[in-house]
Amino acid sequence: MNATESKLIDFIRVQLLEDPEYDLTPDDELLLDDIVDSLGVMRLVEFIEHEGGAAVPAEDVTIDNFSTVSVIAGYLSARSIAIT
Amino acid sequence: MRYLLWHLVDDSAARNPDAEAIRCRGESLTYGALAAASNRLAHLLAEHGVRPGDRVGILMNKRVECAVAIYGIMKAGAAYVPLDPGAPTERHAFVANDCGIRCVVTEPRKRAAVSRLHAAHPLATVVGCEIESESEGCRSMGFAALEACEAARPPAVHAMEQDLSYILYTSGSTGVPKGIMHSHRSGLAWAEVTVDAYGFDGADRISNYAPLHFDLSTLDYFSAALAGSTTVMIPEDVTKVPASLAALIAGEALTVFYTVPLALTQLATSGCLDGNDCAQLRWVLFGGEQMPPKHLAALMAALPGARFCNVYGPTETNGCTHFPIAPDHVHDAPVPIGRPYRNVEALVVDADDQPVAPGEVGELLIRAPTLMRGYWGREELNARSAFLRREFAGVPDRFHRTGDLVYALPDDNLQFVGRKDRQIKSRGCRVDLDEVEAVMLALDSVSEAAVYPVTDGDGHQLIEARAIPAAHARGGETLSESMLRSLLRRQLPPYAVPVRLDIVDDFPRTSTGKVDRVTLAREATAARAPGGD
Repeated sequence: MNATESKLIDFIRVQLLEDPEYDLTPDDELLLDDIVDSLGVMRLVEFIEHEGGAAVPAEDVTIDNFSTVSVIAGYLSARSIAIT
Repeated sequence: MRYLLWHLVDDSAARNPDAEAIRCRGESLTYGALAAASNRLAHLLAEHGVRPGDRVGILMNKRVECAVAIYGIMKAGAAYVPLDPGAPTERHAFVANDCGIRCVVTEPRKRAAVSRLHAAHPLATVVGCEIESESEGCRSMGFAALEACEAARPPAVHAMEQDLSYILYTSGSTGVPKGIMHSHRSGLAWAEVTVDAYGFDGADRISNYAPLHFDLSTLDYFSAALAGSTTVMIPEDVTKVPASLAALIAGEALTVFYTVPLALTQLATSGCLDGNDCAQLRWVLFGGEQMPPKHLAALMAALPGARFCNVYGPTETNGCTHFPIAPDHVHDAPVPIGRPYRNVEALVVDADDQPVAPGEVGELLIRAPTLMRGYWGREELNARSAFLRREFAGVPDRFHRTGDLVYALPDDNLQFVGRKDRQIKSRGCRVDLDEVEAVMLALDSVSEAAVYPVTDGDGHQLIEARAIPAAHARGGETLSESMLRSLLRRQLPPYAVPVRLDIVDDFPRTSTGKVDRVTLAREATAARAPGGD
């Protein structure tokens, strides 16, 4: 797992789930498996914008870009948004 | 003669086999194909020991095969029992054990979840994916096994309208969920009520937003099948991203959208409707909890072509009253729950079960053919939940006690006031706060627990909790917040896990020493308000 994935996992475990021990992998389906709810998606976007110093356009917040931590990291890389 | 829920699909298939019945992520089944596939599944289940009256689990994420599972199980004479795909294995195992599930219909994506369930509660048959099983007694198979089964007609099993069609498990106050049993009769009655009230027809495209274990879904499937409409499933991930949800509503040209207020609030506040043409919508139905008036007003302005309607009814009764919202409705008060549908009797009674004076608050009792048969295996609850009025000697009328407190407005619409007990709605789903407390108290390391509702800025309810550790667990080593959260998440569905959990030394108490949950709730709500802590 790369540094971006690690940071995302950390945020989800600690801030969204409030469970630092939660067993979350980069390939777990965050939305399909109810790990992150709709409020959580919004908070995740806020976190990325805050850490990355760049806005995430509303049209980019989709089920395809936010399905797993690995996919989110890929999206950030493609948009050159660095959160680490 | 139409007296079983699956007759709806076969009747529609006979009338119009090429009409689209189900859609999900671009995949589609016509009524003819759905009738044939469900026949095949019914034969497969019967071959593997499923008998009339059995309970068969469904553990799937949204896909067209969910409809095949629903109708196939019923065609085998069994009742389908949806298992919440977002819930932990402990929950699945509890439900399976409680109502005696030995067979589950699933999909390859859920292989791990089904395997975990089988480890906790041995299954005899799994259809939809192969799992590894050490026990000889479990046969598992993929969907390919259906190909060899008969498609032309369902197995010849005896079934009647009062037989069970499905069981939906919901939060109970004693720490364990209870199964609400519906018959084909109550399911059909609800489909008929809604088609009558909303005028669904073959041109309608009706959303399925709710998961299968949530009773909003029964309108999505059965009312649609009765009317020959198309059911368009909304996958779980789409429900979490308002932009994707709005795009699906527009892209699939939905005409009917039935959902929970939280989803409507998100659509209203995200502004996603602006970029999507949802002009095809003619009905927006919502139920499950109260709808914040200001967001309702915003949505009605954004969708001027649609009629909005509040649908009220506990899972035990299906829907029983509704309030279609007039275009010039004034949004200054909570939306009423409205008037009974046709073929429904509503009584508002006092503590002695006598009708209250007009305008007074009382408990809402419902008599209707849409009533459940009862709670699975809960005789003492069944006896308490029914109110019998004797119109004729020896012939009782059974009413269901909703536990909801209401009063009649001057125009005869009913207004919801609150609950008699500690049940709340979290994301539209029922949670009995006593259940969450009971789960916490079951832990050795917890001495006392207090679970209370908090209202957020939009009027939606959240759950918070505090725990006092047992004497031996003080000092944070045997009980920490994250430990408690993990434990709760292992036993409760996601919407029932408190959003905030604190370990404390004591609670505010009333003068008699009881936990003052009212003060806890009030202070916590104030702390969440803008400008609060």
